[in-house]
Order: sequence, then C-alpha cells, then structure tokens
Amino acid sequence: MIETKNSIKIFLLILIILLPWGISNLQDDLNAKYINSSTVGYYQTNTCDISFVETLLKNGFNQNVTYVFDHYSSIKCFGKINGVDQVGDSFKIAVGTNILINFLIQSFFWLLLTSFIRKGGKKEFKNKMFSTLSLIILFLLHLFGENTFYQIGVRNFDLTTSLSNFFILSLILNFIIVIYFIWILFEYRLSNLILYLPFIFLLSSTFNYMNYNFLLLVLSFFGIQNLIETDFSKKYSLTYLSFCLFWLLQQNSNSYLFDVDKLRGFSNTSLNIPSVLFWMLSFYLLIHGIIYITKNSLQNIEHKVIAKNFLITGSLITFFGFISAYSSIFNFFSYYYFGLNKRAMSQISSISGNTWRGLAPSAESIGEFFAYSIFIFLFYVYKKQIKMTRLYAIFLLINIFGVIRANNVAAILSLIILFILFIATQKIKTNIRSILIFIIIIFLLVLGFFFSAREISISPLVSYEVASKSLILEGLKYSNLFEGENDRNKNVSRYLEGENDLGTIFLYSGNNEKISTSLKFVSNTFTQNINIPFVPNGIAALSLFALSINRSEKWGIFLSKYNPNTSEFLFGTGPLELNSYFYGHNSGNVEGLVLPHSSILDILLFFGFFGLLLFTFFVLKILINNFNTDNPYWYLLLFLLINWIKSDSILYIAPLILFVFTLIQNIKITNKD
Amino acid sequence: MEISQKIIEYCGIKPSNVEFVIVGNDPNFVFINDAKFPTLALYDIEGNVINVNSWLECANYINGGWVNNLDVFINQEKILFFTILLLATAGVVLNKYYKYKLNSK
Repeated sequence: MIETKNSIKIFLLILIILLPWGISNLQDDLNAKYINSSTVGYYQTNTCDISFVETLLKNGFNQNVTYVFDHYSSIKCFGKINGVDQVGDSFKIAVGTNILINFLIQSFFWLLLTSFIRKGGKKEFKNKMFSTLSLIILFLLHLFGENTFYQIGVRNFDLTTSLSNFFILSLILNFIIVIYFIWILFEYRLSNLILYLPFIFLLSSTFNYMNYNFLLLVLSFFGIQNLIETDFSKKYSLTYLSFCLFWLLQQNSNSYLFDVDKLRGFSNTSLNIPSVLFWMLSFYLLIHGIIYITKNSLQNIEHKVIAKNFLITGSLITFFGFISAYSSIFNFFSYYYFGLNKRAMSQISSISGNTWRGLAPSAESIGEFFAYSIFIFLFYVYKKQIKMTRLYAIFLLINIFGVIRANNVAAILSLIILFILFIATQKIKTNIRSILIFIIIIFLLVLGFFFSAREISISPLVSYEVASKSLILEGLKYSNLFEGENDRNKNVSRYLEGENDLGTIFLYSGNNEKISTSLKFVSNTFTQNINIPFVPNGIAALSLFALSINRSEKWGIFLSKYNPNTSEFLFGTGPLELNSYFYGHNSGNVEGLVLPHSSILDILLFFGFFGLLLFTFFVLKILINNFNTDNPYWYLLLFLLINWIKSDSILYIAPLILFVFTLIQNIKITNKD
Repeated sequence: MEISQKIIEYCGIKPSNVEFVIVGNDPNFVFINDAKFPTLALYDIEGNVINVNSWLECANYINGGWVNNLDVFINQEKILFFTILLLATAGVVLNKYYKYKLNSK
C-alpha cells in the first residue's frame, strides 16, 4: 500500500517537473530546431509556439545555449520558447513563466516532497479559517507594500479591488488551495518535521519571481497556531510589539526599489507602511513557527537522524551544485524546483580563485552549513551513537570538499577549534570559565596569525599605526570625500597616516556632511584624549580585529553608510529592512549589493542598539547557563555565534531557522516558551 | 525607428529591401503589396479583421495595436481562475463522496 502510494507520488513529481514545460500545440507544423545562427530568426518569429521540452530534445547536447526565464510571459506562453538572443557565439533561450502558474507548480512540488515525510500522530490544527484569513491578509499586505517590485516584472499585475480583477482573485484562490494542502499534509507529519530540518538548505523554496518564500508561508501558519494554542511568553511579545510600534511610527517611506538579488524571498524591497508591517509580522510568526514545530516534535526528535540528514543534505547540495554548473538545463530546473534565491553557479571554478557557492546564494552561509553538518555527525560518531559506514564516510568527504570549496576560512578554523574543544572536554572535566579562556587564547593566536597576511586597500603599508585606524580609513574612503579633487583616497590616507590629523578632513568644505553619524562617533572615540595605560583604544582594537578577519573594508563601507539618528540607533528600522540603509546616506558609493558582512551589524540595523543588547544578553545567558559537554548544540551555538560576527547569515531564511533551532536545543523546553 | 519584438514576432524579420517607417494616420499613403509576403490576418480589440500583404503594412498595424491572434484579447487570468475553481470544487466533491462511501461500508 505504502509502496503504491510512493510510486504515485514519484509519478506525480515527474509529471510536475516535465508537464508544464512540454505543453505545445500539436496541430501546427512548427517543430523545434537545433539552435544556431541560422535558426535564431525562426525562434524569434515563432515565439510562444514551441515548447521547452521540444527544444530541449533537439538541443540536449548544444553547449552554446543557456536557458533563462521570461518572467513577463502570459499564462498561455508558460513553458514555451519566448525568444532567442545571440550573444557572441552563445544563445540565450527565454522560456516563458508566469507568477500565477509558478505559485501553483512550485507549491505542489514542495508539498509533494513533504508528503514523503513519515506520518506521526495526528495534530488537529485550531481555528484554521482564522489562520487562513490572517495569512491572506498578510499576503495582500506584502503585494500592496511591494507592488513596485511586482509591477516591473509581472504581466497583468493588478491590485484593484474588483470582482473582475482575475489576477488577484486567481492568486488568492491559489493561496487558499496551497494552505488547504498544508493543513492536510502537516497535521500528520508535524511531529516528524524537525528530522528533515537540514533539507531547507537544499530547498530554499523561494517562489520564482516573487519576493515570497514557501517556508515563510508554512512557518507563518505554524506561528499563528502557536499563538492560538499555547500559553506563550507575553514578556518577549510585548517587547517586540513596542519595537514594532516604534518602526511604524518612525517610518520614512520612500519610492526606491531595493534590488534584493540573492536575498530574494526574505528581504523587504520597499520602504512603506504595508511592507514594513508585513515583514515585522512575518518575522515574529517565523520565530513562533519554529518554536511550534520544536514543541510538537519533542516526543519524536531523534538527533542521530537529524545528524545523518545534515550530512545527506550537504552531499546533495554539493552534488546538485556540480550538476547545475555542468549543465545549463539542470541549472534552469534546479533554480525553479529548489526555489533558489539566485541561479546556481554556472562554472566549476571559483569566483576569482576564491569561493564556490554552488546552489547556495552565499558561500559564507553554505560554508557554515557544511561545517555544522560535519561537526554534528562526527559528534554522534564519537559518542558511538552513529556507526561510520562506508556510505557515510563518502558523504562526510563530500561535505569536507564542500566546505573547502566554499572557502569559508572562518568556518573551517572554528570547526577545527570546536573539535579540539570538544575532544578536550570529553577527556578532561572542565567548566565554562576554562572553556572561555581557551577560546580567547585560540582566538588571539588566530587573529595574530592572520593579521600579518592582511593589507588595507587604501594603504600599501600595514603598520600597527595604520591597522589601528583601518576601519576609519576604509570608512572615509567610501564617504565620497574631497569631491572634485584628484586622488581623493590619497587625501584621506595622507591625513591619517602622515599627519595624523583627522580634524582637517572634517574641516574640508563639504566633507563634514558626507561623514555618517556612525563614522563620526567611531572617529571621535578613536581620537579622544583619555589614555588608560596598557588598555588599547576600543576602536583600535576593533580595527585590528576587523583587519585580521578581512572585514575592515566591508565594515568600513558599513560605517560610511550607516547614518542613524538617535532613535534609529536605539531601535533600528525593522526586520529585513535594508532599503533605508542602501538608499540613505552616501547611497551609490559602492556598486552592487554589498552587505554589512556581519549578522551583528545586521541586528544593529534592524533592531537597533537595544535590540542588539537584548539579543546578546539573551543568547549569552543561554550559552553560559546551559553549558553541557554532551549536547552538540551547545558547541554549535558557539560556532554559529563566532561565525555570525563576520557573516550575513541572518539575512537568509535557512541559516536563521538553523540558528533559532540550535538556540532552542540549548533550552529546556516547556509548554511556555 | 526601432523594430519591436512584437513586430518581429508577428511579421517576421524585416526584409533587407524595406525601410521601416511609421505611416501613422496618413490617408494618402498606399502600402505596396509584396508578392513574397504571405497574406496575414490581423485583428483589433473590437474584433475587426484586416489582411496585410507586406511586411511594412504588417509592422504598421502591429505598431497600432493590432494582433495576429484574438487570444491576446482573452482574459487568461479569468480562464485560469475558473479552471482552478472548477478543479478545486470537483476535488472537494470527490473527497466528500469518497469519505461518504468509506463510512457507509
């Protein structure tokens, strides 16, 4: 019976993968042709007539073609060739897609995959109608708030409230159907869901050409259930509510569209009340959703299974990453069916000999994932709870290969240190104080080692003198100072290196307004006259640290742009809201999406100083109070915290979920959160 | 004048001996038939039909909002909406029937 059911499901999966791209008018005499210079005109004339599958069959081994999505396609042209462009010797084939169809196909694909999860006890969801209605309202808030994003790329995007607006009616109907299937599928699988947590790194679940994520939808549903069902902590909710009120009241709407790029599906594109409201509510529900899943899987949680799934997922990510790099066809399908935020890499070689991210949007976050997987698996092998078979040894090697290719040095080093720490704590009875001393010593040694290998982009010489100012130097470099003068960077470095006179830079006409409030604060702290013997200046120490971990330039850019007023500094601008940061002070000083490169700075941006303080207090309290050498998640929480200092992982949904999960595994859970 | 993707799609690639000019509403302009151009029927939103006999004539009509297929004026979202609604309703009815049959056994 189960085997028959699984066979049907596999058949449906294959159907969902192939059917949408294979529908074509069989009555016409138009056939797909091998794509070369002579057939470009044929495809350009006969758009929306030839199916993608037909074209694939003719061009399976054509190395000169790449397949791209034509998001602006009509429903009728879905899955058909909508254009061919020749660029040099290669050809770009545009395949029609449409947001309404995408939503259905991708949701059903992911729901079908979920249906393979083993059934557990039944969980009756409460107030399903209310939950659905709340999610629809939330979804409409998102569409209204981010309509600029959708209007650019979605055909017939229309938000007028009318019964003849079939675009929005179809979207809502699709949404209701998907939520209905979420009810049915998860009521029997909720208790086993946590075991498959690692797979969210493979299935990013972002809807094609939408700034919306399937995981966010599912977790928001669970989040609402958590609020309805359980006696959750009012203390944290009230704190969050007060932050929300501040964000809404202090909102300075603008009309800029933030190009979310690799953050698509989990970042606010627009700065206005509906979009800020959507993201702050979604963020809150997301956290509650994770708590809800954890609470409902307390009976069924098997950490060995989770550890194995981490290793399997890591191997699959590496495997599919390589196939996507080799084959443009698979690259197309992996983007669509895994719901990737960004197309997988189309080359095996690393970017500028540096990192290889494969399927993931960020090499840093996937590096952390590989390291996490390796540690948790080896932890249980060491504890003799998992037997190291030949197959798992291969998976382990693939994961090690993955972390090396991601070239996340911080993740690799912290993984090694974590292992040393783990082995040491297993052999010697120890306490939290000695562990902290060990970490600090190792930390300083590593920093010292890397410090000697670094250079500052603005200065050829790295002396202690220059290094201690590296953050300020880089910040000033990106502050658009000395406008109209030749060699502006040299002016900055000359004042700081040779003349050691920061004041002159501020006095120069036009410079003062261009220096952000944060950079001014940092500069003032650096140049203060208080000198305590043997105690380094805070900014100098931070600059040395930033330089050692190769973050002085990125954090310098952050300082040049981060220009909050007092209230923004204290409370932030709201979760996942980067619009005001990118289009605020010194906008356009860097090209492309240059993120702060530190989750700590991201938290400062989103939740302000108070938020950062609360986060630090809360997390450190958990880490110190729940020290347990037999809990792998204690080490892993430490690992993530160290890595979050230099990575933007909080900006991606899967790493954020992993962090919250790891945090929860360090708390003794009761029904009250 | 730039040739739009729509013109290439409906009328084909511009023949080398033709110069693309927008005629507009000039009543004195006469399009010269091109024997090599297969006659093409174009439609407007009101359902009017015109047969065009040259690439230039075709391009001008397309430029004026005419299309070669009435499907363009069909509300595809409306069709999708009612199709999904129908399928969903059928699914619910079948499910109820299946459960009823199961209970009656």
